[in-house]
Formats: sequence, structure tokens, C-alpha cells
Amino acid sequence: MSTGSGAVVFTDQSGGDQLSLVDILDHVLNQGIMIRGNLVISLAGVDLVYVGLDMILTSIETAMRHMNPPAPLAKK
Amino acid sequence: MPVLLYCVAEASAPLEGPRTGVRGQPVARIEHCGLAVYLSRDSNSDAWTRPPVRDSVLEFHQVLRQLFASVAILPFRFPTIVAGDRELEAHLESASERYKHLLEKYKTSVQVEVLVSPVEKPGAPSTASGTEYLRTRKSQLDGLDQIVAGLSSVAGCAVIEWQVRRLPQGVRWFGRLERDSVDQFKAAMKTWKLPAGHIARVSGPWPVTEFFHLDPS
Repeated sequence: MSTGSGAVVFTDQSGGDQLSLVDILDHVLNQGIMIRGNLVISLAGVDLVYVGLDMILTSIETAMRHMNPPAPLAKK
Repeated sequence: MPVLLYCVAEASAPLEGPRTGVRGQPVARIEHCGLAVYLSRDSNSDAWTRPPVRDSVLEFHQVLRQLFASVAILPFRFPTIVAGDRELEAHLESASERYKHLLEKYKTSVQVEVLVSPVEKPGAPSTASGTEYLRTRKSQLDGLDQIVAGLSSVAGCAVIEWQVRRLPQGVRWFGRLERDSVDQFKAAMKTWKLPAGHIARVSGPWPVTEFFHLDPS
């Protein structure tokens, strides 16, 4: 395997670009304490929560498309 | 009144934390069972998840970020909303010992992450043959394993422990290190020779959520 020409990118946590936004969404939504049971109240019915999460997931997918750098342009 | 929970910290955590949280609501700090909890209260809990939800997520993150800059925290997932202070206190009474244990154990630790993926979409079929596709995919996975081994070796001097999670788009490497080793880790990453055809995204420090299971159940 050849070495040394891959790209190492450092992302910040500002949420100001798509890459850091993906990281933040993942952490805030997928990592951390999860309380179960009667302690969690529904938000105007469960549907609203699901609507919200669907919207977030859509944003993640959009952001993920930006994660892969575009293919290099062919030289003419 | 509904309560949005941000995180738990040791009772010694700052009295003056972030002032505003999700949707501009004030961030309050309560102490119970020897723990500090940061939260917002609003009679209309719908506001916290009203679109655009992305804004709420970022505001939530900013609260965590400010606190985590100085102390260890156990973040709640967004949105974790309890019916009121009494319900929160009941939860803390059942979970406080576990939270205290985790906060003490990981008091000086932070988490860093590296997402490694091929520039070419993983497993993208470049030929019509299913066999060729499987060969290509296996080659990519073997390559990622080698990369992870190299990454762990390069970062090893700064890292207390690490683990890997395989993802559809590549692998995600999590390292736990001392808070004051972050710069050393980043410096090591700058010397890392990542194989051609791959991209690695380095992020952190984050709260140490990958190294323990926080679900009280």
C-alpha cells in the first residue's frame, strides 16, 4: 500500500461548516445519556418528535454528501 | 414545567455556566444528590424541537461545549425532556451513584475521533462482476484495517485507550486521552502518513461518551 498522500482534515466544533455540523449532529443526537420510561414526556404527541428527527436526518444525509471530496477534474 | 436537560457534572462544576441555551432559554443549574445538572425550563416544550431543529441542536451543543471546556460532563442526548424538577430529582436519586462513578473515572479524560474513508465510495462497483465487487470491497476493508493499525501506532503515545467502529463509509476510530494531551495527539496526527486514496477527518476533544454505556437501563 502506498503511503503519505491521503488527506488528513482537522475539523472544529463551531458548526459553521458541513463537516463540523455532521460531527455535532452525531454527538448531540446519538451519544450521551438516554433516559427511558415515563420520565420522558412526549412533545405534543410523539409525531412532532419524529418530524423533528426526520428533518435532522435529512440534514445529515445532505451534509454527508459534502464529506466526500469531489472527484478530481479530468485534465484536458 | 417541562425541563430540557443538557448535562450532568460534578457538584464542583462552575456556578456560572452558559447563560442562554436552546431557543434563547436561560440555562439553570441545580444541585441534587451531589451532582450539578444544567437545564432549561419552558412551559411550552414544543419550542425546543420546533423547526429548524438544526438551530436547536447547535444551541444545545454550544451549552455543552462551554461547560466541557472546563469540566467533565455527561451530556444528555437531545432532546431529553422531563416533565418537571421532581421527575429529574427522582431520576438523579436512582442514577446518581453511576453518574458520580463515571464523572470521577473520566474526570480528566477527553475523546478524540478520526473518521477514515476511501475517497472512492466504499464498495463502489467498478466492474459488472459480483465477484470483482466483493474482492474490491474486501481489499478496501483490509486497507482500512491497516490504516487503523497505523493510526493507533502513531497516536499511541498520547492515547490511554482506543476503539474502532466500522461504518458503511469507512471506519471511525475513538481515542481516550488526558485533556492535556490533545495538542500532543493533534501533533501526532500531523505526522501521520495516510495512504493515498483516503481521507481522514480528525475531531475533538469531545466528552468521553464512547467508552462507557450511559443508558441506565
